[in-house]
Amino acid sequence: MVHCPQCGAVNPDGTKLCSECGSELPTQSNMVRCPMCSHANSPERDTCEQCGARLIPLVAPPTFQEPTDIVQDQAASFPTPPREATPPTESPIAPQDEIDQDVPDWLRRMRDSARFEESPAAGWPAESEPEPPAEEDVDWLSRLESPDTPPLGEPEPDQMEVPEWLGRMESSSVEAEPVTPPPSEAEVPDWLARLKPDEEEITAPPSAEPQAPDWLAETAPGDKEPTTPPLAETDVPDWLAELAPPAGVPATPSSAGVEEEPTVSPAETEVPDWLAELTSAERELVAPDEVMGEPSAPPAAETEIPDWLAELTSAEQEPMAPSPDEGVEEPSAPPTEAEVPDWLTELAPADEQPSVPPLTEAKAPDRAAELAPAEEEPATPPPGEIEVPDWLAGPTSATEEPGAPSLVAAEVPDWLAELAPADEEAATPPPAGDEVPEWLTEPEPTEAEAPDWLVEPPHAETEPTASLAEAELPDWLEELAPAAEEPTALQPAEAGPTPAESGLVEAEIPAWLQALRPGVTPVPVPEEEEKEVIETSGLLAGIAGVVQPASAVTPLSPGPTTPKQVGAEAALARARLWQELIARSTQPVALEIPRPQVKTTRDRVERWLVYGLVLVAVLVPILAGIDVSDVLGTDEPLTGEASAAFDLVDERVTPDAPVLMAFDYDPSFIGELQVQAEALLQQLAQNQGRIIAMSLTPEGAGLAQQVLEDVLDARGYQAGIDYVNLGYLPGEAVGIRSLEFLPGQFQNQGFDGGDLKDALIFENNEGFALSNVSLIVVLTGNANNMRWWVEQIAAIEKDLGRDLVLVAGVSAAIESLIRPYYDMESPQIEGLIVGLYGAADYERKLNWQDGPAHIRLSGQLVGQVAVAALILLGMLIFGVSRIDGTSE
Amino acid sequence: VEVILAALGAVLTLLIFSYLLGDNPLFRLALHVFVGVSVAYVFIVALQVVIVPALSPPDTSDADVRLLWTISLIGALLGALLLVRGVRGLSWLSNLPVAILLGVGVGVALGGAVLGTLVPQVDAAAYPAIPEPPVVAEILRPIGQIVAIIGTVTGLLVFSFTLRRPSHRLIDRLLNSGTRLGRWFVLIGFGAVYGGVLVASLAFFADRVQYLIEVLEKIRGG
Repeated sequence: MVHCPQCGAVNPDGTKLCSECGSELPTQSNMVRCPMCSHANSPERDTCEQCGARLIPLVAPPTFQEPTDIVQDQAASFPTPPREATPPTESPIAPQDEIDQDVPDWLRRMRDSARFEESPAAGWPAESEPEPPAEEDVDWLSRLESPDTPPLGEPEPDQMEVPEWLGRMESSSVEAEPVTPPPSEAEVPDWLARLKPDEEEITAPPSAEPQAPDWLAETAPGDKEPTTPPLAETDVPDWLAELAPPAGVPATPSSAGVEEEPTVSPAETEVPDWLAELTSAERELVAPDEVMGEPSAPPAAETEIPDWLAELTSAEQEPMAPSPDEGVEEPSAPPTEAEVPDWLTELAPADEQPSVPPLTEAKAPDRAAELAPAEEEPATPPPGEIEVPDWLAGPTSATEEPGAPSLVAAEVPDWLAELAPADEEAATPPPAGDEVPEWLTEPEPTEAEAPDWLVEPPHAETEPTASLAEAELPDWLEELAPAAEEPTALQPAEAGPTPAESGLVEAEIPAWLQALRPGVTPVPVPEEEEKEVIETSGLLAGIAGVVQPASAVTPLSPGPTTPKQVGAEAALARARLWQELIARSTQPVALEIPRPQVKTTRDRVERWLVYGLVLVAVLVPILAGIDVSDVLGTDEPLTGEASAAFDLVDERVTPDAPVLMAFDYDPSFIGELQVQAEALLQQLAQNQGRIIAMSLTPEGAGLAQQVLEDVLDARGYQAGIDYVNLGYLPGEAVGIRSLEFLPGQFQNQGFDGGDLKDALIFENNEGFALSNVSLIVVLTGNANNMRWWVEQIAAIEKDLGRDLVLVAGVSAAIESLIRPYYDMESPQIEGLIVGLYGAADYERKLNWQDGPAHIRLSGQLVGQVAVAALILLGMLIFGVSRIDGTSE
Repeated sequence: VEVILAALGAVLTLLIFSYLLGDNPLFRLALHVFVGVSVAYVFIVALQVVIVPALSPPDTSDADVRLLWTISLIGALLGALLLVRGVRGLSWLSNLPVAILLGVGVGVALGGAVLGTLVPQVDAAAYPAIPEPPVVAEILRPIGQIVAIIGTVTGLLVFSFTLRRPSHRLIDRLLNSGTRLGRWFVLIGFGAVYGGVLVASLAFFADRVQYLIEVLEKIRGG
């Protein structure tokens, strides 16, 4: 979806006009990509809508906000000029011979390069000490040369990768004829075409007359009256002087202004056409009043534009804005030998200047290196010089003084330094004067043949000169200057020997970032230049930019107090506490165990009184043989459950009716359950039922055997016939359930060792099965056992499709847990006998007056009364003592 | 012999009662004897009543009995695998019988619990049985149903130990009130259990007292 920048309406992708307001919608083609996050922003935005980064540079001219400038910028970016190794004497670091011997070649070259950077005149090597040709020649330089020009030095283009921009340049240079006149105005690149209107608009700013650059003076209209001395007196570079015709023809070209000046020496009348064209071209850019400086450029009429220069003119498709010269430093002193600008020097044909070391030593252009030209140090500026960008110094080559010190004095902006690859070779000594190049000897071109690169602002060939350094840069030129590559480069760098002081800005924009730059050239954020430390020892001695170990261990400076610090302080406090805990002694510390309360005699007496009282309460009724009826004063049963159970058993158990009795209790419950079993067996024996005993506990099997023998044997029952003891049935709930499916698991031998074959044959010759059982009696003191029986009986009833009658005889301890199965609308336990009460009631129903339950129950009842009395007494005493506060 | 055994039983009973004086060697002696005898008794019962009959080949050609015997052998083999649990490298073999025991046991117990406890008891809580007489039962039945439901719900609230999330104030008050009320139901239930345990203990004590009296009578009667 595309948001309308005017009304904010959302439009579908691909829509060119807003559906709401009809305004033009941003498209991908005009979207401005954020240089920081690559987010596509509408062209109207100043900052990135995603990351907030500024999209439009603060000082960038608006004319460069078109994306097409990206390519132009790239094309205008010349590779980093090859660096020459400065002479050893100029290196701040003395070479270590002992180390150099061990240093490999590549490292030695790096060190040399570092020394070159370190040297203040690195970019402008001394003429007297030309460096020997480097192994790698500048490929792009070789391509800049005309096809018929012999290569400089020992170029090996095939061994180098040619950048795309260079390839285009090369193709252009190849296509261009060596003597082809410069391209017309129509061939001016777009960016330059856009520049021109601006330039025309800003040609007004006047500049001080003494600050007018020489080249402006040269190109000034004829109303100027140059006081330039004759050409012979001007500062003609040596090489140009050498190249000049021996007939006294000035070696340097002359400007139009010089031509118009009658006082100029006759040689100046022979200004080459290209210079004249330059003059005419710059008239459009420079107001007449700007050219205040006297054109000190020597007449260059006698010079001819060399073929290679013409070729270069055509090859340079993207010259920068016209580089108005910063004025001649010494306009009143026309050099006898016109200063040949460095760019011109380095651009000279190699065959004509075979001995020019910078060209031969030039290295292959490196994109990364060209984008970081700030390392280059300008030549040592003379005091009082005015900073002039190099690119402005290019056209003023004719007015430059030959003195190298003045050249090195000019500070070269970074952007210009990187764009002038051959600038650093400018200070190289020109060829000997007798070796006049062909381009100088050829007929001077006509004015129309003036090279385009002179008409249009040269871009890469500009170089700082000493004479230009003293001239102030016009404002309009300052505005034009950044259009070439980097706006900040317009800021004139202060004179200083170091790059940091000179204000050179490192153009460390990588190629990929360069490609991502929007249509406008972003203002590079001024970064604090890192002080390059030159290694002084070791194998890396002399190499600058070595990562210092100190940067890796730089301590963090404490910042202002923040919430994080508050949290850190809390963590620190905890850490201190932890440290204290750790620092404590690790010796075991004996804990104060509360001593058990010593039993006093009073306690012992009280306890024994309780024991004795309970014992007496239980023992006396038993010894006295007091019946329950006598205690309670009635013969009625104590509870109704036992009577109901008796009636149920009496109803269900018929002669030979199988009754399953489970003795699931251990000896601890025989006081209640054993008497219940006896009472039940008495009733079953009365009804002549066949009793099948079993137990879910091993102890229960033995207790069952005992009670069976005690009760049934007295009743005439025969073991194995009238009753059987199946013994222990393992599995608990599973064992109960197995009675349904595996009745035959019971072996032939009973718990007492008797044969069970005939005992398990019931009515109708059927074997033992739960479906055949008339009554199930469970005696247990464990609630879980009773629940298992109840639950599995319910499941078995569902399987069998008939109800099974379950009578439970339980201990009084689990009565509350079992009673819910009894107190129901459809009780799962149809008969319940609880504790000794139920046993006594059962005996009462059996008219068993001397049953054991009766005797024990009297003692139990008295004992319960005694215990209840003791509990109430204890509670009373405790309550009173609390009131008195003597509970202790 | 019978008198001697009865007297021995009486002595051991008294040794157990000696615990009223505190932990003493006599009590521990009786306790150790009881534990030893109980273990030996259980082992003999299991061996004589369960293991030997299960492994003994039936003397009949009945197919069902043969099938049961075969199943018993398989069960015995699985039981033997339980013994290798302490053997390194073979302990995994015991997982099979344990799995069978747990699986069968849980399955049987769970099914029985649903059919025998949950469903019937839920129904019983809604329709509690009211004893006679019918007139009183007609009056007390609704009250009993309400009390049964309230007691069940509030009793469950007492045992809700999970952290209660903050909710509406009214709901919190109801829950707190229900918990306090249920606590009383639980206390009443624990009191009933304690009363039953006390009664059972007195019954046991009376039984032991009567036993001692009978032993003394036997000894005295010779």
